[in-house]
Amino acid sequence: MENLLLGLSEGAAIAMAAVGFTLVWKVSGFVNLSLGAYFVGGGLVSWAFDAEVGLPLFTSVLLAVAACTVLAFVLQSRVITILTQRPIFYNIVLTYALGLGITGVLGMLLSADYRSVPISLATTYFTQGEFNLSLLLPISIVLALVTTVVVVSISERTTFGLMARAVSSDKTLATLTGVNTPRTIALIAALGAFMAALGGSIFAMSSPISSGSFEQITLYMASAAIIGGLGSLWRSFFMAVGLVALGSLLSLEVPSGFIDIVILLLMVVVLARRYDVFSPAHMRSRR
Amino acid sequence: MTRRLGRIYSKGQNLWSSRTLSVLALLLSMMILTIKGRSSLSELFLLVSLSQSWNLIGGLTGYSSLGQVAFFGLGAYFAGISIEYWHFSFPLALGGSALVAIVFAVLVGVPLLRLRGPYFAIATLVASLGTFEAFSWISSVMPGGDGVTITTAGTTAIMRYPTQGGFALMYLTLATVATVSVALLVRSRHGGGLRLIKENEALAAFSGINTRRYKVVVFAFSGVIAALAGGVYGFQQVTLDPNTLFNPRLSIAMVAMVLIGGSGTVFGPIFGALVVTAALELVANHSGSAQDVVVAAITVLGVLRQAETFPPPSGPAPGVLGADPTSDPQFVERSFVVVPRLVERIRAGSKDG
Repeated sequence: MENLLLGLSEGAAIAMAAVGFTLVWKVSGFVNLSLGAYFVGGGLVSWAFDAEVGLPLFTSVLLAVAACTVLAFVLQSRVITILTQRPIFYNIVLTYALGLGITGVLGMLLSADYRSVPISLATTYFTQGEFNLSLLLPISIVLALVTTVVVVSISERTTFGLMARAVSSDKTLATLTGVNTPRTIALIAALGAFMAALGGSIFAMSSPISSGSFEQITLYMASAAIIGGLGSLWRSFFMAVGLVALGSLLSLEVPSGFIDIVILLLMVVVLARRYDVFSPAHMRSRR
Repeated sequence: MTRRLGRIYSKGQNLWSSRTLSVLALLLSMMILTIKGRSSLSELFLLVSLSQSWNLIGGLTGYSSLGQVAFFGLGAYFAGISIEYWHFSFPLALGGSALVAIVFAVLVGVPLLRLRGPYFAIATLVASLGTFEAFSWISSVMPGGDGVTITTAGTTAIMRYPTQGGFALMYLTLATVATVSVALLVRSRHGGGLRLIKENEALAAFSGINTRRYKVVVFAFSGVIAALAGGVYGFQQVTLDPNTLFNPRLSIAMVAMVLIGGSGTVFGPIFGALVVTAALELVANHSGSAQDVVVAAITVLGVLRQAETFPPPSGPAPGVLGADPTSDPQFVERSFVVVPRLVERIRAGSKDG
């Protein structure tokens, strides 16, 4: 039970990054793998401000999330935007490299060791007989859920959300109707990084994180978005929660590597189905 | 402020496109490697082999793989296990590695080469992560639970362990074979077919090319080069660690080397390998994080350089206005000059044959 709750808590934090990833993909068409690095950055920088500098927890998280958000805005508007209308492969490689660079710098500055944000809630338990539950777990799940509700509402109910949807459906037409398309895309990238960094901060409160976690987090984030159907924010959220929680539950019985292989295979099957690779018509046309 | 930044950025772009930076990088790299000596030469030739391996499938054929490291790891593991447990000689183990790479390329390539663009890239990345997980598990269940360690000394050693120069010579041979193969392929009928597949796969199939066979053959050949490099590297390292041999960052480094040097060219990957080796030598005494930053920086520069080489189509983005592709000079050149020339060459080749 405790393992399941820990999985749900970690899953909710990673789900925030998955929602950010889906949002960026949906609006800009960019596959932004560097969001995995903002997740790691959110956790590690929160730890650094809190444990190394001595700032209060709330201020540390705020500063870490703000730093990641601003960095994402600058990188999107100055670097990633150069790849507009270029093959998406370059976009994948560039954002992966940016993520590698960001986590590399974090590793150099803060060491590559695993860190977790010390918080008193983590050691406050709700006890019922033999059942022990850290209060941090349900609180982090609720926090992730509330933040996602707010971001989904912004993307669906505000003027900015309307502009983002216009850009998502047709960039040329959106530009012609007066929407500043590059600025909107950069703001969406910043919003995605905000989600990822906050998710990372929440994650680091219950589980340790290191600069080397970048690939693992990116794998779960991208898998949840792809298996969740590439486009639906809520499906990405629940898919990430489900995948991580299931992985956490099964990790007691099978090696974690096998769980990763199953997730990876599931992702390939979804991609192949989306691309209609194994349909008879597709195979005939190839011949 | 933004305008000033823009001016600085455009000045930087001019400097980059003037090739001054490329020549400077080349000279600086050669200087660093000369100072560092023979150990960095081994690394250079290894990286040349790997970058040429990626160049074959990603540069010439246009199928950008992110899982090329799987061949490298497979080659290293097969060589290590066959030497240590089956007592193969080193050349025989290398031959086995090549054979394993061909089998893997066919098994993985036949289904995955139906995908294109990012789908192929992601699927190959998944395949390499899958092999990593499988070999991590294999390493944990090997006798002793600490993976494969090749015996290189004592009476049970299969051969005398080569010197640093010996390994450099092996890598040089492999790098030469890989580069000559790419050079010959670029000029051959098969190479023309691959370039046509890259330009327009439907047209390639229409002009009589068996696209599937071409793609699988070149995927297997590129895999063989990476597997041979892995076989030599595994023997050199003695202890095989899946975290190093299947590290996805090595796949990214291969892409970076080709992009920074010039994708689909013969000498571009050599230039890229030279720059990456020199940059890694500079931070050799620092942590792995510093090396990650170096690889990341070179990859970003490589991608931006590639973006500069292939500008986006001019005019409005394809959308509701229905952009006219014929207004793009690159589209016109490709459609009316490059592609017909390739088709003509392939047809002439088939008549000769």
